[in-house]
Amino acid sequence: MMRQWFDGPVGYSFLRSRVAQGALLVALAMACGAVFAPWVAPFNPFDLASLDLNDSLLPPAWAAQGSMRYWLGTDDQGRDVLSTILYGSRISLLVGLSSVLLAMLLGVALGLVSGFVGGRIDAVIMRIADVQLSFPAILIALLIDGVARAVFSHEGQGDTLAILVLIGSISLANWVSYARTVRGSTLVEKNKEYVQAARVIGVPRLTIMLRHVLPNVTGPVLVIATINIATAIITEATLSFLGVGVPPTTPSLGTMINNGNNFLYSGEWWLVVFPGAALVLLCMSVNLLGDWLRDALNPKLH
Amino acid sequence: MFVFVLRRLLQACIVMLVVGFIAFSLFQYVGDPVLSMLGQDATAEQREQLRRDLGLNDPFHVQFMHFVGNAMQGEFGVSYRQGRKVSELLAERFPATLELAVCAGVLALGTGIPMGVYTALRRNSLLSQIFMGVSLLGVSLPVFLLGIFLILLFAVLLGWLPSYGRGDVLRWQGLSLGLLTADGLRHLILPSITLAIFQIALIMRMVRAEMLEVQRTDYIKFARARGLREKMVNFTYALKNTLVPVITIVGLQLGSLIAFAIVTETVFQWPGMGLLFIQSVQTADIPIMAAYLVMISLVFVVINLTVDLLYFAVDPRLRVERPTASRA
Repeated sequence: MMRQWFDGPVGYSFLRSRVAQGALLVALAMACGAVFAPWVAPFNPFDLASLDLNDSLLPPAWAAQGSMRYWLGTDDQGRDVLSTILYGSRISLLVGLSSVLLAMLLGVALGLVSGFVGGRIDAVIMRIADVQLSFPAILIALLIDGVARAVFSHEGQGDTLAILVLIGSISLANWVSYARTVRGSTLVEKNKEYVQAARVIGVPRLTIMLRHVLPNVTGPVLVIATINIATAIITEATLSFLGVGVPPTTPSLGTMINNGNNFLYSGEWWLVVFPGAALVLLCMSVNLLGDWLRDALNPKLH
Repeated sequence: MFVFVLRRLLQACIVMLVVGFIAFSLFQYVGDPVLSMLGQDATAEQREQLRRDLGLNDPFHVQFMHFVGNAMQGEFGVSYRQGRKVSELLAERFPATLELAVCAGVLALGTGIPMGVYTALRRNSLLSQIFMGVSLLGVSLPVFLLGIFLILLFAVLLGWLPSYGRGDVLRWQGLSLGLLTADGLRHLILPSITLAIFQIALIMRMVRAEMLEVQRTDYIKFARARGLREKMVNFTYALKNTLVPVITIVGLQLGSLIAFAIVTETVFQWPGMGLLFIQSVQTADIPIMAAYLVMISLVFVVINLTVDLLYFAVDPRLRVERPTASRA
């Protein structure tokens, strides 16, 4: 499997593209830093016992008052910025990846049903998709998130609930592109001979859909998913920055930037610049990877 | 033709009804208006009286019709937090948002089109490469981060521009305009740039692609072959033909400008509708949320409907499929 992948056009294109290699390196490094945060990070920002308020708002290590213990400085509660970034990208990646996954599942399922069953169901799903496409995805996520928060607010806002609501609203805002693509390829596939053959020998419709059609329509889905990861991370960061995303107790990159924004005028620039740079690096590397994958898998460009 | 227009109108109405229904359900399921209006120690009779006065005992569909009727007149009740009429609050905030969106739109068109033309005509020049690189950054940088970095650079480090609020505004019959005072203008610069960057990048890339496309057509080649001057060919024949799709997309993007004003307004504490909405989400101020939900949907539905109808007017083949305004 791996050999095939590397000997094929995708592997060849990867070996030739410096941009893709660099992007993969950066993305992998950040992902590893996030996943292994408990081992990599110098401090645990959630361990209240290790926090020392005397160490709050220290500048980065190279500045005059900086301490070598905290490379990128500390925030207002004495949390090490580097460690918080590592833990924060964990939340950002978690929310980003799971909302992409959820959107993909939802979109593929709806697209498959829409294309395979057709008729009134198809019409309804596609009209909803049309309407949703005329609004910017980030606005939809914001509105769904806002409404959901209002609905759940009287049940006491747990952190987990807030994150779940966030994941749900981002995926509800992004399922359309998957559904449209899958519907298109399903319409083509369902008239092919192997599907008709399966139908003739009496395979149930659900089995045909899942075991025969589905594997043949998932190709483009992965490309869309890769491109959407960066979008999802940005959406999460934006909502968190607006104060309606991840709660401050378990900060994501967006929440950190939101917090740092309060210290912009008092000169603590490192609270905004470092998480911001991490967010930009993460999004750009994932974006570049997605663009490259799209071109590499596009037969027209070979 | 008539059927097409009718179908679009019907679709728009259905969307608005669905949005209205969501807004209405918000009132139904979040909090108890009677409790929040009378407080804890009202008697059972008082509550019952108020319920009857507010029409809360009516059947569901009667209440919904009542809500729709009120919404059509712009009535969404009283804000829970500020104790003022929602319609008043929104009307007060509206000019600020509109001013910001218009400035950003003009800025985006005014710089995006020339930049697109330039990068198409001088494809290999250094400046073109820089424009393309910057536009890539403009597309992939989150809006709020861009705003913060601009503030950090121009307001905090250099101290050239204000970064906060609207500054002096001219009030005239309930309208407030910052454009006409020097201070208001200075306050407008950073937010407008922040809001416009994505649109500049988008317009520039689109104009560039269209210009490159149109250079390959026969009529441009023919114009060149006939020895018309380059300036004439490029600006009179080529540019004019690229502008039709550009104007469509820009029209669709008008909605995005208003939507993204939410983010920009939060970064710059710009007292517009977006900031009001975000504050109301944070405090669960349902009447404002509902009103904003309905209003922003109306803006989008009207824009899309207009663009659809314009397409219909322009293109006799009546393409129902059209580019959409989805963005990262």
